[in-house]
Amino acid sequence: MQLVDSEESASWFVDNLVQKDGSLYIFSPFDPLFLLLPILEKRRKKTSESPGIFLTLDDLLHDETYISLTRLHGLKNLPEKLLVICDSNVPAPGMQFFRLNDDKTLSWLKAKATRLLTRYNDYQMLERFTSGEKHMDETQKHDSRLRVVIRILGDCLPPSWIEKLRESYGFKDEQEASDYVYFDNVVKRPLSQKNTADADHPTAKKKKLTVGQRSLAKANREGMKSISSFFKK
Amino acid sequence: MLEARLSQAAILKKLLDAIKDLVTEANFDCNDSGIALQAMDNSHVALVALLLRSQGFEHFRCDRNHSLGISLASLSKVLRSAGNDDTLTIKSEEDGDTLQLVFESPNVDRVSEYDLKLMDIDSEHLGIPETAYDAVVKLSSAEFQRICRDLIILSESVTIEVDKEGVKFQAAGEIGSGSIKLKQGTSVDDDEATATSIELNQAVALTFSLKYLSNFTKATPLSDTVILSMSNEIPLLVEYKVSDVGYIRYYLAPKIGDDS
Repeated sequence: MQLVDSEESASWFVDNLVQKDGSLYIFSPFDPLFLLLPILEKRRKKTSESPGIFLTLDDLLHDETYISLTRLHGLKNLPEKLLVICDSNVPAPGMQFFRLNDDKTLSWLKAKATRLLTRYNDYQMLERFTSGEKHMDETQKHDSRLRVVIRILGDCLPPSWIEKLRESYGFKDEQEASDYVYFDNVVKRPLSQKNTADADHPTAKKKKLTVGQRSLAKANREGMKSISSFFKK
Repeated sequence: MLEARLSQAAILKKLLDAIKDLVTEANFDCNDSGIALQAMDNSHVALVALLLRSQGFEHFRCDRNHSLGISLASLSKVLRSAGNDDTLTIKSEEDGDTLQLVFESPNVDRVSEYDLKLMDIDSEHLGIPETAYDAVVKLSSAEFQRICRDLIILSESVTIEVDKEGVKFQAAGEIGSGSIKLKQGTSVDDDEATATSIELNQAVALTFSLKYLSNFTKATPLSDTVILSMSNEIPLLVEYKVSDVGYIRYYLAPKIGDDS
C-alpha cells in the first residue's frame, strides 16, 4: 500500500461530497514473505557458532511493539509459503518450527529477480530506465537491468539482504556505479507551480527580530513542556 | 462589521507592547462580547490570552463573529503614531481585507486614518480549563518587574515558593545565589491597593524561565498589580487586569526536573 499525492487533483468530488485530501492510497499485491523476512532474521538469533533457533509461527508473529503482526496468521497456506525460505522441524504432529535459511532465501530472491528480468519489457514504468540502453551491448544491458531489478526488490528488503543479493550477482563494491545508472535514468518530475510559489514565500517574509524576540529565542527551555500538552485543543 | 471606539489609544498601545515580543502575528477574534486573542509563542512553551470586553469600549458594535489576522509588529508601528490621549476607533468590514484605525486628538482638531492589511493566520485554539489554583499571589506589578530584573543577573530560572508566610523568589547561578521574600500584607510603596496578598490551599514551589517572566512584565504599565496563580506541575498564570476593559493573561510551562 502506498500513499500517492495526485498532482493535479487537490480534492475529489464524490457524488455530493468533497473529499478535501486529494492523495490516494494505492493497493497492490505483495508477497508476505517480504514482511516476514526481517522478523525471521531477527528472531532466529544466528551467531557464528550456531545457525540459530527454530520458532513456532505463534512465537514469530507475537511482538509487543507491532501487535498487528498477528493478523498475518490469517494468510492462506502461510506455513507452506514459509518453507520457501525456511528450514522446518516437526517434532510432533501439529507442531511446526521454522528457521530462516539463507541459501533458500537467496534463491527465492534470485527467482524473483529473474522473473522481473524476463518480463522487464512488459513493465511500463521501467521504460524510462531503458532510455540509456541504446549504446550498450547485451551483457551491459543485462547488468544494467539487473541492477534496476535489485533496486526494486531492495525497496522491500532489509539492507543486509540487498547486500547479499548484490554479492550473489557479483556486484559487490559497485554501489556508486549502480546508483549512477539508476538515478541518471530517472526523469525528474518538474515542481508544480504551487510548490515553487510556496518556496519563494518564506524568504520574502523573513523578518528581523526585535531585541525582546531575540532574547526569548535564546531562553533556556530545558525541562519545559509544550503549553499545548497542558491545555486541550 | 466591527466598529469599536476606545477612549484611550494608549491602552491598545500598551497591550501591543506587552505581547509583540512573544507573538509576531495573531488572530483577533471579535464577537458581540468583545475582542479576544489567544496565541502561543514561537517555541510553544508560553501562551498569551487577551480579552477586551465590549463594555470597556466607549462604543462597540460587532454584527457577526469574525477574526482579524494581524501582524502585531505592523499594528504596533501604526499605533506609534497615535497620541496617548487620542481616542481610537477601529473598523473592519466582514469581507474586507483591511483594518481601519482612526485616531482623534482630544479636541478633535486632528484626525488620522490608517488602513492596515489583514493576513490569513493559521492558529490552533487551546481550551484553557478554569482551574482552582493551589496558590494565588497578588502583588505590585512594579515589584514583580523589579524582582525579575534583579534575579535575571544570577540565573535564567527562578524558583517561586509560596507558603502561608509569604512568597519567595530565588535564583542560583554561577556567580552566586539570591532570594527575595515578600510577606503578606506589606506593600513596597505603602499603598493598600498594591499590598501583597496570598490565597493558599497548599504550599507550592515551582521553577520558571526568567526570560519569559521578564518578557511578561512588559505588561506592567497596564496595571498596578499582577496576579500569579500556581499549582504544582501545571502552567503558571500571570494576569494583569486592563483597567475595567479586560485582562491580559500569560501562561508559562514550569521547568520540571530542573532545580537550578
